[in-house]
Amino acid sequence: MREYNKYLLCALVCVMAGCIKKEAMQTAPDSTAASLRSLMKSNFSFSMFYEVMMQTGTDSLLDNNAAGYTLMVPDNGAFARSGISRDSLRKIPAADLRRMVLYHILPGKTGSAAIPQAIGFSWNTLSNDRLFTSTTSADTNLYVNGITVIRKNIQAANGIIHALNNPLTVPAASVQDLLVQQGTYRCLIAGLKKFGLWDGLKTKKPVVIIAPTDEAFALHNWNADAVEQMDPAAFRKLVFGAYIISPAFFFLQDLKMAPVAGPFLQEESLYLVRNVVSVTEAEFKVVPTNYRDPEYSMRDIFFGKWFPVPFSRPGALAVNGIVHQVDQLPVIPDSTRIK
Amino acid sequence: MRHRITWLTAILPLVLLLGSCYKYAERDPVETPAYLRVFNSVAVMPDALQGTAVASFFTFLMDPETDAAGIPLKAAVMGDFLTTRQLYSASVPLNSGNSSEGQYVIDKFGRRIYSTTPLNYEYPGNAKVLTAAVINGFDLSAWAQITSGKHRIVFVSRPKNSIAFPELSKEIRSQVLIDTVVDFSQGEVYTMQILCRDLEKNQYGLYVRNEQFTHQQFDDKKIYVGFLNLSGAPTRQMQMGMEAAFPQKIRISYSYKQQELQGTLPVPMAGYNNNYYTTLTEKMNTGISYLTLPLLPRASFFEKDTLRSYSRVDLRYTGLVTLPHAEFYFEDADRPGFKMPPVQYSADPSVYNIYRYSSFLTDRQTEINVAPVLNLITSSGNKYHISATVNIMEIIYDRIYMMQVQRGFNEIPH
Repeated sequence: MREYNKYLLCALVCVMAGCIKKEAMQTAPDSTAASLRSLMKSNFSFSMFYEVMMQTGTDSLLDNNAAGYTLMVPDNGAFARSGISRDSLRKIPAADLRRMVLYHILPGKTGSAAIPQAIGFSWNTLSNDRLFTSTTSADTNLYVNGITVIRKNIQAANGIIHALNNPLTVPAASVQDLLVQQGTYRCLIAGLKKFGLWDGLKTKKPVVIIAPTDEAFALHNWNADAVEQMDPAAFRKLVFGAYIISPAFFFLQDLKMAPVAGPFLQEESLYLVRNVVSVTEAEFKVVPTNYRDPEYSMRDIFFGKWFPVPFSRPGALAVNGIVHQVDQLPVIPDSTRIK
Repeated sequence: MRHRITWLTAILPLVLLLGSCYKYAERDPVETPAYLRVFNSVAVMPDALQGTAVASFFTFLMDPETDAAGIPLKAAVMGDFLTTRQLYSASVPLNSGNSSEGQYVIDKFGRRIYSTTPLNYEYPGNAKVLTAAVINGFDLSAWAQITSGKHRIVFVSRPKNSIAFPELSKEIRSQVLIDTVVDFSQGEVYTMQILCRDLEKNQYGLYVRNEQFTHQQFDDKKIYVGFLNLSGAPTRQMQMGMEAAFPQKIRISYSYKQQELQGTLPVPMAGYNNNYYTTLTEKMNTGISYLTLPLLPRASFFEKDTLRSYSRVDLRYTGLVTLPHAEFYFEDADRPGFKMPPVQYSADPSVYNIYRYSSFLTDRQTEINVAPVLNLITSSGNKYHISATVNIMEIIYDRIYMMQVQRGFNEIPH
């Protein structure tokens, strides 16, 4: 019997020693959270967007229990900053308003950690238009179409809310349409047509338009009529060609997040970019491609001065590019006369 | 009865002791191994204007499991948090938890960017995997064992944070930059790198080199140095000299210097003064033509029994390099005698030395005479040991990455 016990104990020791112990099971995290509707309804700062959702019948999305939604919600202050009141929202045609609301909603739950650290990462919204996020490891702020996300990751049981500093605008069909719609770019449009650059803006992509206003031209005594009288053979093409940066696609905040290492080369000009110390604006300057040649050495002004573009002005988005309005004339037409 | 109690008293603690301790499963041996080391040799930063949208931070996956949409989920062989490689790589992993410098990456502007989230400079690095044995006298513990044969290789662009790849969102996991199949032969040593093919078009490629140094005969008394040009297509800015980069065809010459008199500048040794070495006319070569330098007598390394000095690792030190050292000179082979200003400084040998990060700045002319460390000096048993090395220099745009393979590792130092 004693011999039997000895073998039994040895077997027990071997069994106990030989088996692999598994880690203890972890308890599941507490996932109770309010629903999207509850958060939108109870949060006064989201009341304007919630009202628009109710108005357009898109509020039913807030009760969704499937994969959830990600809402980019401009708060009431965002609407105020854009000069949008409750009255003006009511005057927007129902179909446009619905598209605008759906443009603020992504399918699925997308927290900020789930957004790739990239410049201009593209997402498809419920309105079937593209929306772009920018975030990097160096600047972990999140920007949507160049607009700052002021509160990230407001968790709901059936979705996530990111609060925006400004409402988003549904992309226009093309940068050409954007320039026409604004009504402040008559000189630029006339010049682009005169130098054969206009038609390409309908389809060319990706493209960034640096768009000086008519007031900027007026500061140098140029108006649309004078531009239409220009002889294309007497001016270098960059007089208007410099305003088309392609291939490029950037919101102004992107310049802050992803600092520019070198100039952007055009055919006969290049863009120099620098961020000023206050980091509230970027500055651009157009210079000749061969600006380091002796002919140009020591010259500070070539076609125009450094001109600022504030980061607070995110830029107008179109399907094929972005229009950035500038208040100073980057290229003074008189400086590009062929002598 | 007394015997039984004694017996039980002895056995029961043993049962408790053995029963309560954690047993680790042993790693299965790799039956037909090949050996693999993976680098991220992309040093670009996102640039809004130039369209460089991807940061140089990747996950390397071998034979990944994918979901129904083909998006990678995870892989048994995975190098996560893969940041830009260090400028100097030894044949042993340098980031095995003992870095005295901290976790940082040298960015495009030469600045140290420290990180509070995980970084891996290479795979396997500090991963807990089986590594290569000593082959042909080389310590290859920086190469992981993998099963030989065909493997699907995937590189995914990932964010810099602490979230492991399998937990990342599908939008992030679908940022696949490289997806290809590589055939690894049994017993062979491979170095694999993700590289920029075209910076302007955001195109990336894979470079796989079957290392031949495990098959070649090397003289114990010689130092071997080989150069490769792994740069992708130059940007328009580089072509116009607005951005630092090595030229397309690189003429390389060298001097082997040592100090003859105390307090004087090192001078080239007889027969080693500005010698022509080679001209790199092709890119992405995998064969290496080695330059040989003699391993000098032990006395050359000492001044009255005191080890001579390398160039100092701190900044702006202008003291003398008194150890024997090689200097390399680079020129644009298409324009003999002409050096584009940015290239002249970026191409400086000091870029071999990881500490000399500031030499990337084009205005640091004071640091142009720093040389790569080709003589490996180690200390054990209260004695210095001087070893010859095999060095592979990989030129990529404005950088030179130096991979030094230690020799005679399996021999007792003398």
